[in-house]
Amino acid sequence: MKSKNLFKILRSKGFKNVKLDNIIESKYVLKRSGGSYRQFLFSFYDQNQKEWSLVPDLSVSSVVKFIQNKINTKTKWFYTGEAYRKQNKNYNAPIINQTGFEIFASNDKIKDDKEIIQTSIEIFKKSKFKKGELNISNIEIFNALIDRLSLALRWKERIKRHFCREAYFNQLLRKLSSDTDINFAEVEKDKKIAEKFRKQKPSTLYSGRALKDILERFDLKNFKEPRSIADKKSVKIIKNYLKISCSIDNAPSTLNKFFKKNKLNLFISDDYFPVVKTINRKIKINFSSNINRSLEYYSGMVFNITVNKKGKKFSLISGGRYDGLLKNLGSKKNTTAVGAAIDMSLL
Amino acid sequence: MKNEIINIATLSKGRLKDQAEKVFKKNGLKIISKSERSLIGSIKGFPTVRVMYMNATEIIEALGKGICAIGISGKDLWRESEPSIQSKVSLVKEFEWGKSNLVVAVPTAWIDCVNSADLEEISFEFYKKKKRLMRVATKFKNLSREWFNDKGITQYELISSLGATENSHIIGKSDLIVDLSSTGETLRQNNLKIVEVILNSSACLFTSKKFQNFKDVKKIIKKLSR
Repeated sequence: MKSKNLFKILRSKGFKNVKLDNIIESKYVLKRSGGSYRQFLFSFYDQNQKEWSLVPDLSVSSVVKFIQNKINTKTKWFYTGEAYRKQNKNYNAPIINQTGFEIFASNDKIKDDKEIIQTSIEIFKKSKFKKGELNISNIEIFNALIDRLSLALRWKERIKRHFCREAYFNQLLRKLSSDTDINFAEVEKDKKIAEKFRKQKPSTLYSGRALKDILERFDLKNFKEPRSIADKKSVKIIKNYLKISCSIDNAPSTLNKFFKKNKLNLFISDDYFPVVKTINRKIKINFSSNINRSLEYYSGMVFNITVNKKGKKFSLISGGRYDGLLKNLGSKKNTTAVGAAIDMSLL
Repeated sequence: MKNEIINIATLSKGRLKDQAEKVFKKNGLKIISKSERSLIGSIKGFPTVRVMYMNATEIIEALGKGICAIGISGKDLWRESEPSIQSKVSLVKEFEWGKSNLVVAVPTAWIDCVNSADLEEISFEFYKKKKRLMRVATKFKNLSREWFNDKGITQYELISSLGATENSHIIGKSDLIVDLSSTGETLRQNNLKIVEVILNSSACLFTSKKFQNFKDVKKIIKKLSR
């Protein structure tokens, strides 16, 4: 498919082409992805010692532009251009061609999720691929499942936080199913120091941390919410949930059966499935709990459209909802956002 | 290739220089240099060999760039070097001297922090309550980044520190540090405690992959690694 045909589809759906800058203040990227992302940045300092980077990802650039333009109403944008990322070990080219489309600041999440998916299906239909798979999931379902498990709160938060880092997530599950995280001898020793600290002013700072926060965490970890036994049962539930993959038509019943079987007191309504019924012959629509895990800012619906090329599976379009990101990057109020990116090299 | 000069790099200063020279001497390779201050020497019986006294970090770089064939330096510096350098240098032998550990150390007052999982949670506390990234002072940026990634810690910022890193949390430059420690005494004196050891380091014998099959290089390596 030629770019102009793709843009025609996007324009017909009401998406407006927006030009993005090639550079971005590094702080926005680091705020989104953390300090470890620095290794991928082509960065430099200007004469005012402000650090800038070549844009490593156009979606973050579009979010920053949206915030800086102080727009309050529903906005539909699409963009296309180059992103620049230092490659680590896989020797891919550092320039990535990206095209994406986003809906910002809308109040009807279900409608917007549907719109992003329907637009993606339309782009797929006009592509050269005869068959594909649309896989849909929702981070909110995973988070709700974790909340229902009998785990310490800080472990629940930790598991949710690292859902996007698969290797470390698996390390966490191994740790959770094998050992505890309390060294009792060490705790006894630190208890004496804690007693002395309790007599000090709670606002006293120790290397950037308030004494109040240190003591609160010390008590929470060791006394209020200690994890003193292995949580094998919870780990099994998490692992089994991540194996669920079924036709979208059966997703609500499959999931609800799973929750009932594991006594999780959780019920999923049809709202979580923006597309129901596999009506299209060209595309198979699935619920797949284990997709799009590499991006940490997704907060709700996630999806991808995969195609086969020379016997290998590729993601042609992938996207999802990321409501928390705008606030994280400086928006004064909670602003909703949902969008998708297209791999132009496959079109 | 027959008459090409083979450069051997060894440490130029301090206690480690003496230790390295002992290794040569013990294995029948006597270094001859014009004076105490001369930074170039030779080895008796090896006319094509030149001994160069260099800074430990530069030794790794010289090996990686194929300037030197053999070198003695620290394992920490080799592991810290860029992949393009590291991949061109082979570790031949780890010596029993020059030992130290690369450690992650936090203020002793952080009694709630005893392992990497705690540190990961604390990094989010900084992000939520201070609206900034947790700051880590170090000169070992690559090894630190690798360790933090491996432990799932993403909300941090590395601050360059080339010396006296142990006091950087006291003067407000950082919140914690990654640094070398032999006995742990300097850490204790500066109110720091070890959370985890990233790497056990010692002085090592290295060879440049470019030269490792040269006859004289093999001969010297064999002697030095006894």
